[in-house]
Order: sequence, then structure tokens, then C-alpha cells
Amino acid sequence: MKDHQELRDQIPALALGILEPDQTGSLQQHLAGCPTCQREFDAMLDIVGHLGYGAPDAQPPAGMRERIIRKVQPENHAGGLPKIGFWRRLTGWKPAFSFISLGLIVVLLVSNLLMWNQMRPATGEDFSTIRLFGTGAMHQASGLIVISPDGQYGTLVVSDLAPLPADQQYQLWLVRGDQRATGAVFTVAESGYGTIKVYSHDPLVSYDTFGITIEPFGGSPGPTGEKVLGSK
Amino acid sequence: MNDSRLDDKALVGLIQNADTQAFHAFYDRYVNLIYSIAYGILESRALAEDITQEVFLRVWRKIERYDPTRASLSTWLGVITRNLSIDLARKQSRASQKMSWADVLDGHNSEQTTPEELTELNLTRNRVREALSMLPEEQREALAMAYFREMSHSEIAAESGEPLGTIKTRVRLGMQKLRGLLIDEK
Repeated sequence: MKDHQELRDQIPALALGILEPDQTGSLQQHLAGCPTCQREFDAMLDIVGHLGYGAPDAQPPAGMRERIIRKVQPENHAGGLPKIGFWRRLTGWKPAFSFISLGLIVVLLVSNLLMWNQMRPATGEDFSTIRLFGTGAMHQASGLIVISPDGQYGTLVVSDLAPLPADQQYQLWLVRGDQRATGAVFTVAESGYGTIKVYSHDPLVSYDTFGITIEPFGGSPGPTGEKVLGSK
Repeated sequence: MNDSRLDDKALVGLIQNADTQAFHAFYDRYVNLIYSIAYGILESRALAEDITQEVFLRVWRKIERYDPTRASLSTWLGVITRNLSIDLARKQSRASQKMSWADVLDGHNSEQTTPEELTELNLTRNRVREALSMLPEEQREALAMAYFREMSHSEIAAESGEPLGTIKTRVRLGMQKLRGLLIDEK
């Protein structure tokens, strides 16, 4: 087994991404349990970032700015259109229009409340939701399953999942004990966003947990790939 | 307020809010750094533009992935640009064959910088080049092969004809010396 100093000496190479594959695993394992070496690694990564400033100056071609800026539109931003506050939007309008709009909003709110009160006895229950949390390399991803009041139907919404190669798809698994039933097979847009209906023989509320894995295109009979989202 | 005067933190906040004007200021601040890294690795204007575009679109769509507690914005951009460029170089079976810090350092003279050029970017660039110029040439060369071509120790040893242990030492000492010059001095 390598001693501490020997492992520490390999940190610069790991940060540069040039450490031999057979040495990477043991060093990463060591970093997970050694705060001193982890700090050293972070510092070395910072140096790798700095090295970019040493690249010879290259002048970007004419027209590149326009070509790139043209592709940057609010519609393809992860957060959608600019988040302008409600009051800022309202006060940005002409006064008369603002008052008319505000009045209309109040009327709509009141009528919706009245309708909601009338309908409530008929449905009896509300929609329920289950949150899904990103795991591993896709820790930033998230998901939500909205389940109908009778528990039979659901809609899955995911965001920040990486788009997959053409021969792979995501698959939703409905988990009860050691049983795994498929709920949906789907792909996501380039933005990482996706939505799909969830089908199941049994009520969705009867399952213990939910998970999403990467599977071959078309889905698998049982989970075989990396888990990317899961309920807690 | 002119967005070009905002600091990185403020610009990132505005970009998270889909502010295109802030993105324009961000582009102007970092395009030379990103394009230069990509061109240094790929030695192709067209491919460097592809990478530059990919980096900026990622910033626009996924800026929330940037964690300011882990790295400065320029470090984060530099690492993304290098990784994407090296991946593309491998796919296209091409990589910089002659890249060396020497070309950069030959023209380096911080005293020639005019006041207008004393942006933070230029100051950092001068500081890094100054630090690189203080390394022994063999350490600089080993680091250039590692940085621009992501060559392993054994690949560098084979190309330079030096023993493997010597190359390992050069890379390690070079990085440690740069750390002392660039980080510990803060």
C-alpha cells in the first residue's frame, strides 16, 4: 500500500488529468478520507485553471460575437424568460391599463375561488406529488411526479438531466419491495427538460419509491444502468 | 449601470435571471481567454470557435452549475474549455503538436501593458506568465505537454526521451512552484 507522501505526490498529475488510470482510483479513495490532500487537490485544480491564462493570445474571428450572441435568447435559458417581478411588470404599464388589469386579476381570483369551493366536494382529495432527487454525476437534476387524486395517473417532469446518446433513454421505475415495474421510457430536450405521462397497472400511490435509470433505447425489463434520480 | 463594470458575482446573478445584456458583458470579458485556450489546444480557428460557442451556451443554459465557493469564474471557465477542447481533439485525432509556453513568454513583458489593458484578465494573464517564466525550461515543457495535450507521464517520457521518474518530478515540482507563486502569495 502506498504511503501518504507517495499519494500526495500524485495530486498535481490527477489535477492535470494525466495520472495513469491504474493509479487514479487509489488516489481518489485517499482524497475522500484526507482533508489535507483534498485541499491540496483543490489548490492544484486552481492552478490548472490559471494555466489557461498562459495560452498564447489568439484573436477571435470577426463575426463570432454576433454568431454566438444570436444563439443566446431568453427562450433557451434554463430559467426561461427573464424573471421580472409581478409588481415591476404591473407598474411598468400605463396607469389606466394597470388599474384595469389589476381589477381583472381580482375578478378572476374571486371567481376561481368560488369555482374551487363549488368543485371541491366533488373531488374530495387533492393531487399529490413525489419529488425526485439527482444522484451521482447528475446530482443537479431534479424531478417531480404529479399523481391524480385517485392515484391512478401521473405526469413526470424532469429538469437538468443530460441529453443521452441516440441509443439510450431514461426509464422510470416504480418500486415496491424488491419488485420493479416500468413507469415510462423517455428522452429529454437539449435543455435537460422532459415531461411524460406515467402508466401503471396499480395505483401510483401504492409504490414505495421511484427511481430513474439510463437504459438502452426502448427501455429494459428491469433496471440495468446508472441511477440518476430517485425519491427519498 | 453599464454591465461591463459589474463584478463576476453580479454578472452571474444577472445571467441566472436570463439577462442578455449581462451575458454580452460576460462574453466580452472572457471570450479572449476561452478562445485562446481552445485555439492553443486545437490549433484550428473553426474548432476553437465551436468550443467557444459551446462554453458560452453552457454558461447561458447551466450557469447554476458554477459553485463560487469552489473556484473563481475564470478557473471554472478555463477547466471547462480545456476539457471540451481535449475531448474534441481526441475525437478528431488532432492535438497541438508544437505548443509551448516559450512562444508566450518570448512576447511577455508586463511593462508594455497600457493602462487601458490593465483589466483583471490582463493582470492575471501577466501574473501567470510571469510565474511560468520563473520555472526551469524542462518543467515548463513538461507542463505544456500535460496541459495542452493531456499527455500522461509515460507519454511525455517517451516523446522527450527522458526517464519516467524525471518527468514525474518535473510535473510535480512545476505545479508546486506555480502554486507557491500564484496562490500562496494572495
